[in-house]
Amino acid sequence: MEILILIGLIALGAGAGIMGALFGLGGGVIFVPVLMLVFGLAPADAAAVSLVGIVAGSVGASSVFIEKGLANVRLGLLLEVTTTIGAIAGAIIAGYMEDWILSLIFCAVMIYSAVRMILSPEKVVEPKDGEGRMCFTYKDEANDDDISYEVQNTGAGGAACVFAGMMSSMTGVGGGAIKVPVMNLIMHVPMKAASSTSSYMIGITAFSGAITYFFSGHLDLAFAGAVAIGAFIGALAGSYLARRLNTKHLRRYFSVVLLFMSALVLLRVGGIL
Amino acid sequence: MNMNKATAWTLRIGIVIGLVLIAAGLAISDDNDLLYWGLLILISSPLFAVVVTFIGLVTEKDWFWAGIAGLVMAIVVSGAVIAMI
Repeated sequence: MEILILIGLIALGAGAGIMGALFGLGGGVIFVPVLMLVFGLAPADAAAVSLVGIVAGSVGASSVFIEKGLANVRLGLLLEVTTTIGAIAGAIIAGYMEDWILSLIFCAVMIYSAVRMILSPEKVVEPKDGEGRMCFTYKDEANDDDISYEVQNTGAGGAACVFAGMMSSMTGVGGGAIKVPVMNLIMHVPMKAASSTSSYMIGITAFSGAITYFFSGHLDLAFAGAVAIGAFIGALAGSYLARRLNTKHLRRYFSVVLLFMSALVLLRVGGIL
Repeated sequence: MNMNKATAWTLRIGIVIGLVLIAAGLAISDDNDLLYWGLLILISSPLFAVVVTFIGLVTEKDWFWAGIAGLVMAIVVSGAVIAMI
């Protein structure tokens, strides 16, 4: 592999890895078009390399987040069940709906979430007795506080994650863009815990796709390896930043990223990208 | 070692071994065997981590969450197997 291409792939992986660790997003919306437009990969090859990058970023970031207690493994696994149910339903429904309608619905949800996250302050419910199946604690390194929270509206959150899974499998854009707002706005999970938990979840979700491409022989091993190295480096940098960033700022930056992603999806729908 | 630490260490070991093999594979002019095994270990890390989480929760006798972890494990493995068939 040429050294310039290698450096370019590592840089791409690093950028997506930072995004993933900071905001709990997989980065597929960036990976796939860049791999196609800049590196000349076919759509299926770009998707395969992108999935490996997403796994590498998720594993790198969540190995830090889980040990620090930021990523909520239990909640992540619970929502992974409902997201997967949604993904299966989405794969069935996708055949009966136009792509542009799905993309517009997805954009509308992202824009609504972004506006709500900008306008409404974060609501975190402290556990009443400190014990319970849905009570959790983590240490916020930005101000050295122990943050305790009780996950609310589990049923509504689970149902919304079914929708996230559906949208994800129907549009090809990762579910993190919906799961983080669902956890934060509906389930009242603190933003840092929500984005870290999403970062952990996307690795599990991307595993199935990545392993399928891997064994089908459609994965360019050298491209995937270079992107994985970059994604790991980016994830470490992103997880360092995420732990020290003020929650209010993290929420605001996340909203901006959601609006940016909506614009990218709209450009794709319009045939410009 | 508690469940969170065990899960985090599983992910860490998976990605370090995977990336060392990948880096060696890229350095030795795209050695496909090293890249193959490195990527396979890296990609499989999330599944190994769910298995370790499941064992950790069973050890802690946290049956509700162990059931959820078991369900995720079953979904992920069966999904991958179906997709490969």
